[in-house]
Amino acid sequence: MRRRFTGGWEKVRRLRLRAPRSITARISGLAWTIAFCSLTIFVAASIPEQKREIEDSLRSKARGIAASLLEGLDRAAVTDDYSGLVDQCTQALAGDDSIDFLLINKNDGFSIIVDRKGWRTSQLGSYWTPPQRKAASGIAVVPVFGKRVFSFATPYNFSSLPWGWIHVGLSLDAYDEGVARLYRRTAWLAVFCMAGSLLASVVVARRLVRPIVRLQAVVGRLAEGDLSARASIRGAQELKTLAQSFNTMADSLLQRDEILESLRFAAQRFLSAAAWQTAILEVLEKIGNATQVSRVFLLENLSGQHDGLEGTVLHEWLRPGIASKTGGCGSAESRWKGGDGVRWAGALSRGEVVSIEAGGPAGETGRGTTLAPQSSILVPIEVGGSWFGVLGFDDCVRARAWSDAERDSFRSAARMLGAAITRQQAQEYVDNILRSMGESLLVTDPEMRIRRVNPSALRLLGYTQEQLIGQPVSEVVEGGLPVGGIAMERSYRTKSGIRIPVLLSCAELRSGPGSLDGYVSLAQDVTELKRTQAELERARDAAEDASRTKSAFLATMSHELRTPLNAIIGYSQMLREDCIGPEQPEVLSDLEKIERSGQLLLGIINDILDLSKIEAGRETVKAQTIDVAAVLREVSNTVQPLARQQGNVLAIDCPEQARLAYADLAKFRQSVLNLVNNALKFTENGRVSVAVNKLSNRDGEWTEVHVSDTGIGIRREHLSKLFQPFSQVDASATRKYNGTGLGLAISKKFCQMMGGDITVESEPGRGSRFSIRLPAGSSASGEDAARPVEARN
Amino acid sequence: MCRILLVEDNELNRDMLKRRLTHRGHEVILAANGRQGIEVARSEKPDLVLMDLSLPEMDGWEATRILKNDAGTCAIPVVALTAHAMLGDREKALEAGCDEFATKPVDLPLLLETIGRLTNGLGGTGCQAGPQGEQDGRK
Repeated sequence: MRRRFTGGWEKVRRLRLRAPRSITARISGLAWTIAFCSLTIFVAASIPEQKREIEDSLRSKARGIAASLLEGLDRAAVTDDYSGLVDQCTQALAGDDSIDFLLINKNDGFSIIVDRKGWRTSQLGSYWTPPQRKAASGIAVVPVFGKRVFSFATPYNFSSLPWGWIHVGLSLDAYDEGVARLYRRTAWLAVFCMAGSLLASVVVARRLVRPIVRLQAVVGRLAEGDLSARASIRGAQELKTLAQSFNTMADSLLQRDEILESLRFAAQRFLSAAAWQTAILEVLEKIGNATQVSRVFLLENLSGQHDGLEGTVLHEWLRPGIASKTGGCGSAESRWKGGDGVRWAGALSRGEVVSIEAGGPAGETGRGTTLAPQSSILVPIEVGGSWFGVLGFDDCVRARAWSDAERDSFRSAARMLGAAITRQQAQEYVDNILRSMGESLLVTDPEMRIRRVNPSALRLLGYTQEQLIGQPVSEVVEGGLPVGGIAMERSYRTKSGIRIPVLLSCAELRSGPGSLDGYVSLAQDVTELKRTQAELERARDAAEDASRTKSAFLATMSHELRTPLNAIIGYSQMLREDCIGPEQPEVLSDLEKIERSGQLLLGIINDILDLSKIEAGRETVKAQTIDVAAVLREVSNTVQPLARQQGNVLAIDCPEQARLAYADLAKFRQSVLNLVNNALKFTENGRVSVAVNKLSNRDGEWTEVHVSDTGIGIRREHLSKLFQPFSQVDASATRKYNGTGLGLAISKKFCQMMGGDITVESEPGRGSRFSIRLPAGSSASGEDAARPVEARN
Repeated sequence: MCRILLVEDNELNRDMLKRRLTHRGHEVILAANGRQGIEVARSEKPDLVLMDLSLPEMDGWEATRILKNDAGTCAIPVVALTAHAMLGDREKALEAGCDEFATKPVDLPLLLETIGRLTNGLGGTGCQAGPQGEQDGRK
């Protein structure tokens, strides 16, 4: 990290150093090259000119010298005496060092030569008499003298006749000297100019580049994250514009950074705060400062009852000097009716952001000194899929168009707030559930250490939450958690050491398949339940005891009652047998009454005895294979007198395949006898039929005995009471039909003891059908196993 | 015309039944409890025993078992007589070795028919090895 950071700095430094040098060098190089070229052109143009000037002066001098000789020459041409001319030449030579020689030649080749060696005559060639008679000059190495001179030749005419030539040779020493001086001067000038231009160009280039370098430094700091860096607005117009652009960019970067920071702050606060309400003011302030607005408010949506936007300001941040949204009068209610309000409410409910250019919401609350916002923006907050409220931003200072970045930020802030509220509501919902639970909840991690408890558990156990969290669950639960869903009885050990019996169920806590996060156990204090249960058991035992005592008492009493009854019946029978005679019909009738009453009493006593034996639990079932047909025959024999007496036909149908059953013989016989007896008793001049069949259904194999009659039948409302003891359906029936009403109760109990039941169907006036159903049992089941299931009855 | 041993503890019933049977031409010997019943049965060799089941000193079931296990008395038919006309009593009595079962109060014609059936040459069920002679009682 550090290395990269230093590396970054190195890079920036290199950029900063190399880039200006390069630009400076280029600019100064260019400037210098331009200067150099200009100078070269200038020098190249001026030097030949200067040389020509020197030559011109030499020429005019030579022309002057030649002119000075004309007079002497004229004389010499006339006189042909050249001595004066020679003298004149010699004097000229003596008087001027620069003259190398003077040569006058005639067209015929005669020449007078005067030079530093003296004078002489000579016959010279055509070189000295050029064909074109015109003055000429030039620098050349001349024959005869054999040296480089400036030679000037002018033709001489005597009396307009071409006579000859005057040649003047001037020494080139001065000329060379002048040219050399010229070169020297030019060279110095060039060097000076080059140096000067180089210096100037570098200075200028540096001056040009310096603001760019400064700008670059600023950019470097920005790039490094120092958003406070600003470029100074100096230098050329273009650079000023550039610097201003940079500063604007840095400003917006800084603001965006602050907005992002505020959002980060909001996220962090909402996540860490226990309740969003504790964080909201800080967050609003941060966002308000970052976005440079005047007011940030959170409005809870109450719209819906009326048209328009309506809500309560829950929280508000104000820049100093800005009045509260609530108007400072404590009322947090805000309402905006009319077209705007309706439009805003509509857009917000659809989840859209509403931006208001002027005359925003605060304008209409208008109590007191509210400064109307220049620009506002309202962002909807969604909580759990519905519109919870509005996050609003007012700028009361300047009208502004909200940038996309700002809109996005406000939306993000609203989403974060919505998420925080949603999360908290969900949390509160769960907390409320846990708090409201009467059962005590312990949540553990996979290592059975307590992670969470509810108030019920704390109340029951007497610990504080801090004491329990992190403890192994075995500290408070004896016997371990019964993982697997079935509630078991366990003991809670409270802080004070008391054991509380609880009904505890435990399930695995899984966030996904294969990940065991812990266990959730739910316990119910069963102290009270157990006490009640114990009391109930005691009460039941006492009742059972009492019942047994009563039954035993009844059994004894029945026996004791029956012995004298036997004597009563027996003696009355004996008297009837002994005293038969027509002379005493009323005595016989009285004896019959005594005997019948005795028999009735005996029946009652027998039934009571049976019932009390059943209730005392002394009755046992001895199941065996029985011959149903034989039992029915026996029953039929027994009831024949009654059937005759009532004028009934008794029909018995026992098919061969249903002949054998597996039951307690005595109980079966008694039950059948009872039903047939009843059927005959309640039927007059009718038909009583007994039918046996085998039935197999999904519960197993059954033997059914149906006893049907065509008697008086039983009304629906009496059917339910039919099998209760002492409940002959009609109180008057007891007198008419005799019997105690115990028979059906006893028979039903017998059948139930044998694993079966007795059911009844009846239609008043048409007859009844009683059905005994008993399990067919092991002996009969084999042969019928393959039979398909038959419908009942 | 049979010699019938009536084992019965209740004096009224004993007297009544003796009189009614005597009336029908039977000779009735009496015993008041099980032990006495056995002694009388052994000494008098009656044609038939009417055995009340609820008896003092030795109850009827026990007495019947002893009679039926005694070679001298096992041939004498035993008819159980009981006020325990309750369910299972009949089976219990037959299990003990009784040849028939009659409930009190006595249905005299039925009892006479039973007596006639058990004594008219067919006699009793004969001697048995013990209380497991119950298969006869099941018919």
